[in-house]
Amino acid sequence: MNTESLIKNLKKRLGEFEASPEISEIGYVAEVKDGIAKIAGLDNCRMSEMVEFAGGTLGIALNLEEDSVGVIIIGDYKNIKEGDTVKRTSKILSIPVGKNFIGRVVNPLSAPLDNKGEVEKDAEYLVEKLAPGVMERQPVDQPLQTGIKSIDAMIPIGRGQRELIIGDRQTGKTTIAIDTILNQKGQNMICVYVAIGQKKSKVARLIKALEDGGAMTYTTVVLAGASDGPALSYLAPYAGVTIAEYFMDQGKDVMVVYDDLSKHAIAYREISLLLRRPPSREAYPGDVFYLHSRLLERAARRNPESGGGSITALPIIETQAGDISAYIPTNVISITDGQIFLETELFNKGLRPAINVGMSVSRVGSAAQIKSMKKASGKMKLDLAQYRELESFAQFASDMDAETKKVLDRGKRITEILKQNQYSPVRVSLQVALIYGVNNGYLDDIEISEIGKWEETFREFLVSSKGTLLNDIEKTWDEKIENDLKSAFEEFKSTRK
Amino acid sequence: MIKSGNIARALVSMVEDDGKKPDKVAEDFFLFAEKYNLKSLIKSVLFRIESLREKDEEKNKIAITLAIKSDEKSLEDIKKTIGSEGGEAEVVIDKEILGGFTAKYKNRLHDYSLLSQVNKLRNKLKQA
Repeated sequence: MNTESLIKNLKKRLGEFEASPEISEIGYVAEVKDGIAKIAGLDNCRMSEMVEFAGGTLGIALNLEEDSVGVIIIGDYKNIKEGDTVKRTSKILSIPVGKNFIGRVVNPLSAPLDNKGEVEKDAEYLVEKLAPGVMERQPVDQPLQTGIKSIDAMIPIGRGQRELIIGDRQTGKTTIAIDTILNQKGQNMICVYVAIGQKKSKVARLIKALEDGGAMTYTTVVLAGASDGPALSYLAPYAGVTIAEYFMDQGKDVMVVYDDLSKHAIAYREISLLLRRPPSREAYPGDVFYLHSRLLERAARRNPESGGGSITALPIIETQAGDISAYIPTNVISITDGQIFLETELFNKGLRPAINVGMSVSRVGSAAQIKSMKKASGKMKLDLAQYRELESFAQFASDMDAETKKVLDRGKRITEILKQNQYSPVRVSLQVALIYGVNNGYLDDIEISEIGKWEETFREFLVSSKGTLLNDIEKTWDEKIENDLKSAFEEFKSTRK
Repeated sequence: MIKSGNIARALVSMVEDDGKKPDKVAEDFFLFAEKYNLKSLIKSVLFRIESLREKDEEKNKIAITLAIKSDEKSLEDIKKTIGSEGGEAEVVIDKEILGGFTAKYKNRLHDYSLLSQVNKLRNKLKQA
């Protein structure tokens, strides 16, 4: 009986209980301001050790000085006053993790923010942890489908890769991340979205979009809002990857979005300046590279001997006036395995997603593409590059040869087919069909302005009557599938006449 | 850069740890300050030495919190338990600790209170 076993359990725990005194090292608050406290005493405090203030508020020791310890306060510091007792805990910060965190919105200490009650934990994981070693990893060769045509065709991302999304404000960076999360439905992927220093109204809209798209059944949101202070913003990405590591340890594939690491660097700069650490370039502390490298190195694809699973990281960086040679952007570009560069000019021209394909790269490349996409999109990047070269030239030239005209027409059609609406990820087999079509001239007789409508109708046609072909495209690519696809194009063309 | 705090710590260490005579240490320090043109630091060094002395006194203070008033013998027993060599103790009565005592001495908190044991038991049972 349940009651019997509960009584047995309680008796066992009472029997195991040992009443012993607690002797802990204490110090006193000498100074407190702006989320930082200086503690006198605590002579044996260690780096990154957790300390507990009188009211139960926690802090992390970040500065070990001769006479005092500099501590960042995690939580509300308004009740902390000079002279308050501070206790060492002899522990490093850890947070509860578990399967019940899926579908929840939590803060960086794993406390729930969505008014759905407490979250039952399965384990406690350290927030700061060493990244998997070289021998634990295996090459990235499994695709992560974003559902965004330009990315899956020309800048493919693999499971275990770090792909940076970089661009100015309001260029669609978060949209790419959310579309990718929405496209993971049915893909055996768990997603973690880390909002760092974001407006809570924006995060509320994003959560609504994820709920409407059915994505909250496999997504956790970690939120450190703009009003939560720099300490929580500093911890948020590490908390996000910690939650992801729990699932990776079970052999699952996880994707983590860090939105955005520019605000993370700014929060760390604020903390470091308040702790009186010497500022270096742009007033950032000297270890700002290490701040991001140790975070992003925890994304990996693990070999089966080490437990399998993967963490794919999509960090986001906001640039100012398109300057990707600034300090933080260059740091993160050098850490990640590629970048997706978004341009304001393209966005304003109506090219959305506003991806500058020339400046974007995926260092994993076609190893992370399914066979059919590799075949279909083979020359596309080159064709687009040629189109961009000729596009500006064509503005001034009145007479063009047939070859140049062909390149320009093809380029316009490719550009048009790559446009996509927000929160509308496209299944990979449909992407292959569309890209195959545009690259092999099936859209050459369609007016540029009609391509959007054509695409919509063609996709409906394929989904309703070519379901088997779409499934085959996702599995492999051969002559038969290619011929079937060609027949599908002919059939669709004849139905439109 | 020569800091007055570092000089103060060195002087105190020479007297307390190395066992040198305070008069000799002071005399050597004044000669040192004169030789290296550091007379302007003497006042701040004195201030630092006084702060160090205050901190040391603070460290050696005993603060005991009890749930109910206790006799002198019990207080002596508490002092022995926490490793104190004697001296005045500041006693505070706080019913919130339910029973037992807490004591702060030499940057250590000795928690022998009933409240902490009840909290530990509660956490243990929560894991059930």
